[in-house]
Amino acid sequence: MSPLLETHQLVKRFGAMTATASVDLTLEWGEIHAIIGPNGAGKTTLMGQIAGELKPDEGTIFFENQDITSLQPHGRSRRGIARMFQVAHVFPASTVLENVMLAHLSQRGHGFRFWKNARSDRESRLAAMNFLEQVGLENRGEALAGTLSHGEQRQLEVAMVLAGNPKVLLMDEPTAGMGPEETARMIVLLSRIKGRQGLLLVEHDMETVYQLADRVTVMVYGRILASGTVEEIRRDESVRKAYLGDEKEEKEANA
Amino acid sequence: MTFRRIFCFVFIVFFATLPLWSDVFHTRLFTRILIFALLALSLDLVVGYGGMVSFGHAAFFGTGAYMTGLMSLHGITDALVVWPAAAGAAMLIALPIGALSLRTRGAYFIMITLAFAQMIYYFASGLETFGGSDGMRLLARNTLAGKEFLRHHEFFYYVAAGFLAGAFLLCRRLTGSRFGLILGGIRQNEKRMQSLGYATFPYKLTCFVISAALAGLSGALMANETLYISPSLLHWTQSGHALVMVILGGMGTLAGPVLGAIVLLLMEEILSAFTQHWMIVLGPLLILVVLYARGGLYGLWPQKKVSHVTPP
Repeated sequence: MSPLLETHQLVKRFGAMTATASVDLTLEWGEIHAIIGPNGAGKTTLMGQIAGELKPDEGTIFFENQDITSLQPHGRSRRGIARMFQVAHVFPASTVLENVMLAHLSQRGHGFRFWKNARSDRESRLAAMNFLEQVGLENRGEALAGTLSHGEQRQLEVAMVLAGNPKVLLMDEPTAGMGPEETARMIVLLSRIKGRQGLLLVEHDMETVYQLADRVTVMVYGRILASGTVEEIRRDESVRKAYLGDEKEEKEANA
Repeated sequence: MTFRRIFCFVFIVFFATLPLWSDVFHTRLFTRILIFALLALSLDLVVGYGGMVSFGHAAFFGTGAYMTGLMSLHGITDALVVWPAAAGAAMLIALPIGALSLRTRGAYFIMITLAFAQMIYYFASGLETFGGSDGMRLLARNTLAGKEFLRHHEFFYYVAAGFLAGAFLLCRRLTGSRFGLILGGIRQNEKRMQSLGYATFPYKLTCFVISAALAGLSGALMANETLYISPSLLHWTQSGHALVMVILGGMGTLAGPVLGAIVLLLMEEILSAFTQHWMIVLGPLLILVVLYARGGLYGLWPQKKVSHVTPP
């Protein structure tokens, strides 16, 4: 069976810098595929191209065997590719419940309904509450999203992407900036939703990767250095060298 | 809550009974205030709820007024025909202006809406049929179902008040609907809405066009009140005037622009009685409001609901 999502020879340049150089990547249904690599390795650029915010210079992206390279972000989202951002992108001046309702409604026909009160609509309230319960925010529904803590906002993000019922989830450092407790909660949450979709995860924290990922791809300077299971990557000599090399350079730069 | 209720009650009673005890001069003054409040309300729909700062709403206001003039030149004077036509003409103009302007955002959007409005201003200044830059007198107010009710200033006051109340309730439904919810999301973070699967452009354009319809209607009412149309209705200062009302009163609320229109026009009226340099007083006051009362006058309201507007 062909993979759920596949990139083929993806190239993206910013001026003279090549951010992703001929990247081939696959994502299967039900797996968590982690992308790791040092800063500037092109991980976020790759995610941006898959989500449709960045247009690749060369290469193709296939989703369920269809070429989606030229689709706009909202078009990809409608087909089932959901993106969770590096920084929490909730709607700060709307309530938590409204945030989830917006995510939920986007998959349910058009929004040109001008008369009926949307906030008191029973059906979409219930649906939104259901997703809030899944992430443990059921008691915060009426709070303004901007007043939530950082960790809670990330939980809300997860509820919002789940509400879109996605087939592919793109997550950019879901535990960035979180304390140990919040990180642990996020890991539990992610492992609970695992298997319902394909999850492509960009992550810096190796512990998180080791706990969650089925497959790991290492990127350095826009290229894929290695790809395999967690065990394979741990043992890989070139990966170790790439990371150690980086550290050495940093030390020299600092000295 | 009680203070709020008492104030609302006094407010409504004041405006509902005004023509009964006021002289003609003040009835007409407040008629103009109500018409400008309608314009400010329409602008707030775009600025406060849609997050699109339009600096060209005079285009739609003036189009409504000129449509009234055009139809009267052709002998069509019944309000039941003219007013919907005025709103429709404003919508027709708003469609291409919006479709082009909405490809930009922020300061560019402000400048391009301003540019379109000024284009229409100069176009109207060159129209000899409408008296060019001098403008044109209208012979009489529109008839209502063939009867000349509207020439009574008291009756016309209630018509303007009715339209404002109707538009207020309409906007309340609109902003609470699914459309309003989506619009609020777009205002806060358009990119995020796209990543959720919304094509944001049609929603913004729809909001822009609905707003233009209300602005066109207020233009038709204004032409009827003053019986005079001129390019000054289309001038950019008119757009700025309406923006000041929205900001002064509190954008992103429905009561705010209405309050802003009342306060601004009353202050202009009162201050100009003392000195012709009344702008010297009004200017600093506006700066104070922008600096220290970001929710506008309505935001100073005791026990206010948290304004849900984030700065664009």
